Amino acid sequence: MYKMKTADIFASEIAGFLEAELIGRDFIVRGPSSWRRMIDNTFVRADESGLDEHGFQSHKDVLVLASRLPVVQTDSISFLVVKEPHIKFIDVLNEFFIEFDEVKIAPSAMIDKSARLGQGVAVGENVVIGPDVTIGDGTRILNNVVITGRVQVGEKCLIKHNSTVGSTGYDFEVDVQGRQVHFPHVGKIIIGDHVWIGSNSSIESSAIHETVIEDMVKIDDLVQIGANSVIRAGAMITAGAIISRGVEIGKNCLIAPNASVRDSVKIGDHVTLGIGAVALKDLKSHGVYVGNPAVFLKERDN
Amino acid sequence: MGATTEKSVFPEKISPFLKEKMAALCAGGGAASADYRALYLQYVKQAAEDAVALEDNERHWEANVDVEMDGHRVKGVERLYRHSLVIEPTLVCASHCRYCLRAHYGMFTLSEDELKQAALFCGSKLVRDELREVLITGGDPLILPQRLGYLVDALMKYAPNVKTMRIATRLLSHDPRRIDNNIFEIFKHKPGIRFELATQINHPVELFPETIEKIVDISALGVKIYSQNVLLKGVNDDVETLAALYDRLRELHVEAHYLFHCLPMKGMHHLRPSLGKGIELVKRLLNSGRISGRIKPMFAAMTDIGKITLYEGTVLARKDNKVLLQSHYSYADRLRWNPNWKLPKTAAVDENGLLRMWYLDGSDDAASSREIPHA
Ligand code: SF4
Repeated sequence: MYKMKTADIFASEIAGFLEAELIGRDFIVRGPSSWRRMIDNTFVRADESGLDEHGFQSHKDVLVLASRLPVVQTDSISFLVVKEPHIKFIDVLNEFFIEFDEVKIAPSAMIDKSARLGQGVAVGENVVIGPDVTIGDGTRILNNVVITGRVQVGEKCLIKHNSTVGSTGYDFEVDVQGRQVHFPHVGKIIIGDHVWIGSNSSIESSAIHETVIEDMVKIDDLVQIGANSVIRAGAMITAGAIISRGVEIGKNCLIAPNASVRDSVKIGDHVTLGIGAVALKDLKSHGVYVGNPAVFLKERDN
Repeated sequence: MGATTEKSVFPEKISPFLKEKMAALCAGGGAASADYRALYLQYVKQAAEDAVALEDNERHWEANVDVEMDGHRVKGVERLYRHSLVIEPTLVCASHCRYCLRAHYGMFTLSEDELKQAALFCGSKLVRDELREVLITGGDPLILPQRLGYLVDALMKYAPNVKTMRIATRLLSHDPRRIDNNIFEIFKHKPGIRFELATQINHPVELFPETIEKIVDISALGVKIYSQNVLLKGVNDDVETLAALYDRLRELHVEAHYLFHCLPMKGMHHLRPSLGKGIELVKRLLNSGRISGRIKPMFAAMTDIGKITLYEGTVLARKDNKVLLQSHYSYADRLRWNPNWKLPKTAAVDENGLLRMWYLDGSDDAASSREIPHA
């Protein structure tokens, strides 16, 4: 998907990019390193708590992104004082030192001729894309992904290796004779723009209507999203979470690793569901909930 | 350009790639060689830069070309012509060309939100009926491929009236190693958009093997590359050098566009030949049969009212070291395209409503800069 690249970038170029004043000398930066293992000619983000204690003296030509200057500065280290240095660090890394793979469709991909792919869609090896699928511009689909059924994927999404979008739901009724009757899921999946779906995750088709994943939702690896669920914009669902059928997860929620949400539960906006928590009933907005069954712990700050 | 009036000192900045090339040229042909000199004069800061004449411009654009939307200035956008406008995503470059007008401006880089505003302006009812083309310049927009890609996508989404995107860059010669897949992808999968890359190759030595490789790669994507060069004293102000340059450009399918007279910026006296010499050189170049008739650079001056093509008839009068140039820009059009536009002090409107302007000439005295110390 991408790789690190070495480039000769002046510290002053990074300063210009971040619109920050370069405090110290200008020199060549060749890539990132970390606060604890600084390498010469790199850029790092400061660990603010240790900013005044760091033994910078042993390093040469390191550019430090920090929210303030240390009490003592040395000649060999230059600073950029910026808001949110951890975010700016990622911006610099992305802009100067990451090279993305060429956008192409792998020869082994099986794409139905009536599927509609937008401009600049990348499709990896062994991907299967069914006939009723629409993929928006600039979306990247990595190796072995299977997208079938009535699925609409937005623009600039990423679907990582081995995930399944549109598998029929696990939906069995048992009649009086003990016969297991499968409800065939014929509904849609609608996925918004800038959505991330991690590896080995599964998004189930809805029974009749739609499973919805709104813009900017980020789903980690090994996540299950049940049929007819609605995940609102900006929600983040981390590794191993199980979202059952007909669930609604509000805007900007954070579902922590291995949390589970029972069928038809509604979770409000800006909720955090803690690690391994099990939501058995509806949860109100702006709360942090933990445990099994999940209970209110405190108000969420943002 | 009109982005900020903040003064800045223009530090010497030479990319490691160019430094390697300069060291190799110096070791090979020596410091006196024309090839080494061509790079030295363009990039190495010289004492002559401090010899500032009173009439030199501190900044280039004295005219106000900023634009507004909903009562707010749209940062990084300027409009001078009817069908096109300029967007500057960043003022940062990989190397500093000593004669560049950027020397006199502050530094900025537009955020994604500001780029979106720029794109929204391009598609707004204020300009969309006439606007067909944007020039994305700076700075060097190719040094920030993610931001550039974001701008291109935003223009396609919010300004479908824009059909041509011209991107100005010197990265091809400053550091072609930085031209990679991130940049190639920007030009791909954009049906209906015509991309052009405006570069500046002033001397044949700047066509390094790495540069040529990237010219070929980018051209293969259907991007038209053209070069707008600057006539610089001691670098390319002789017919032989210009003929060799335009020959090579033609071989590489790079179109020759303007040959600019070096701007009347502070401290640039030592790099500015006279307009008369430039006109004469171009006349000889075009009429001597030395270059193909299919590659004909246009000699022009970049003035406060825009580009003025230079030939003998353009120069109406001379007073001391200033010349009065006739343009074909109409004052009424200017105000219509950009109601904020103000007539610069150096310009006047003639009886036909066309703009004329006083422009500082260069000189043909011996270039002190020809004395080059050993690297
Ligand atoms: S690359 Fe262009 S904008 Fe940058 S310093 Fe050179 S001439 Fe100026």
